[in-house]
Amino acid sequence: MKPNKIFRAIIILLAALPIGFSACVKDQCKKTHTYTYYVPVYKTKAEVRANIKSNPAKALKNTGKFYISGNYIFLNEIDKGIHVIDNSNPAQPRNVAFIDIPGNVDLAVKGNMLYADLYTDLVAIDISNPSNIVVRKFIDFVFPERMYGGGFVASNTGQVIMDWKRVDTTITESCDGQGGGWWGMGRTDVFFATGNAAGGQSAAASAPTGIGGSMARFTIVNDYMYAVDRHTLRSVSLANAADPVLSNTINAGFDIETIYPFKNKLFLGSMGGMFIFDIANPASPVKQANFAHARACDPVIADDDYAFITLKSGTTCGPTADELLIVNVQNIQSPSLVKTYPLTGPKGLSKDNNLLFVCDGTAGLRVYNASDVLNLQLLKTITGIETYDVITWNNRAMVVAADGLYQYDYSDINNIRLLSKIAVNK
Amino acid sequence: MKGKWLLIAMLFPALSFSQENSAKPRFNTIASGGIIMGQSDAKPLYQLSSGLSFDDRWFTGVGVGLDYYNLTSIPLFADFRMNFGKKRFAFVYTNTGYSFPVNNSTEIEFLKISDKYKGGFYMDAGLGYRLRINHSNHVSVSAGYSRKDITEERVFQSPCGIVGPCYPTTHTYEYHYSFGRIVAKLSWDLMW
Repeated sequence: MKPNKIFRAIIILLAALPIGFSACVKDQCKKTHTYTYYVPVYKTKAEVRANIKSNPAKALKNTGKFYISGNYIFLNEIDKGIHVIDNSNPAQPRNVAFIDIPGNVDLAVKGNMLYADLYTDLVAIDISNPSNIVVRKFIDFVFPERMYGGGFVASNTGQVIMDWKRVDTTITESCDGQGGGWWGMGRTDVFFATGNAAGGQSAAASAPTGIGGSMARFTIVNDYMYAVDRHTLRSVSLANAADPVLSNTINAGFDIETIYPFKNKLFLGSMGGMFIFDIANPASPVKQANFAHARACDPVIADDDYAFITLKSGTTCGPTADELLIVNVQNIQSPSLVKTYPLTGPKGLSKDNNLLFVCDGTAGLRVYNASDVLNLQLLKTITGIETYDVITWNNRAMVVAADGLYQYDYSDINNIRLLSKIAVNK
Repeated sequence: MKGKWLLIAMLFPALSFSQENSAKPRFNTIASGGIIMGQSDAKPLYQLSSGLSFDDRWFTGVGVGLDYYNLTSIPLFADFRMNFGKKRFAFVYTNTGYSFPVNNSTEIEFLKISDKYKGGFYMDAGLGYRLRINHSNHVSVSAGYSRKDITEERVFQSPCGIVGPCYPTTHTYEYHYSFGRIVAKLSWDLMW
């Protein structure tokens, strides 16, 4: 074959290639989606309520908020119930019982009564003998926002979600022409677990009330329990502790996350700022002021002069800086920012006189001398633990961390000692 | 495993033909530029191969390229070609190897924690015609079919709340892209 013939053959071939290979000239895409979803396991409401008692102790797994009352620590196991921990000897706390309360994330204690949510319902439990608790009352449908769990009815007149069955799944499908990703959060038939965790309880305002952390959504002031959800502040009368009565529900703001009482004020932490409510009339809280900040997850605590707010950034919290805000609340009608301090990933915080304890996520627990708010002095950072919330009381710091419940003795601030740890059993 | 097959593919022609051809092999470098046309786009392609030429009939070597089709990648391949015809003006070629994705942008998406590309199979095979300029230089045109595979892995993680330990759920999406294209190249072929 002569070269010019070959050349012509190649030209013809070049022209024919798109036709010959048309079936192969294609952008193909195959998508593999690996994920986990959960399907609910229901029990009847009667069965669930009958099982709210001091059951045998269970290992800590996915702990949330906690409350201290006398020698006992009541520690929430998210959506499962409450661990009862005998803390008579802080160096050797004993996990003595577990109260099964499906859907429980919040709790508060006044005297011998523990109040806890059971999805939409509120339950009052007599804890005079923590090893043998007695249910005193249920109030149905106090928290309607908990009606649904991951798209399922979490609690209605008939059934309650007791547990979630994990299903690991891999799906392979064509994504030709899609040119990108689609994320299955839009599915309505399954619950893509968010692993939402919960936090502590607010500090007490009167002697018979227990002590909680800064992440609480329940708090008790004298004869009223206050409970917040994303938009609502509810007042529950505890005039008869064994017979709580929902007395008032008001619209409190947007994206509310935490509640903290100080004297006759309630400080509500929201993703957009802090709201201050006056409870001079305890049955009817009145909004007095608000302080706006960048969108973030933000527990708040306060004293006579200042409110301390930690802002945490993140996918659900907003793209803000991780920091501690100190807000002057001496003029309660007009709170003003005093100073900000950078942090790593702050969450709960607690104050004992001039000592400020801040859970700074993976950076550990930071302890400051806060006698001068304009110049906080970092005294100590306890590293090696991923901290979430802290309660300080009687020279002891109780810290909920990713791997357990820690107790520290800070009677000598220069020598903070680990007293004990109850490990989480993952 | 991929590296092993790539090595075998590169060495096989050299081992085979070095034994059956008595003529002294010559070093040969081929620089190419061209265009890749596929279902969605037409993009430039650059390649550089170096190896040995035997008896002006066989060439075997290794090559590297820059492939801009859809997802930019650097193909690393074994290059084998055979010249035929009386004056050996025509040739067939095949490039087989691995495509490494480079510098591909990723979107910012809600709850996404990672987005990375992984390489995959690469091939390019076709026919060409070359013009002799002198003893050492040729210019050629060629056309063929090329395919590259690239995988994108996107990982999303559900959020945790602000307090308490959590068990975030991970959603992993793997997009296995396979692009079949027509390729046309103009090459400069240097032997010494």
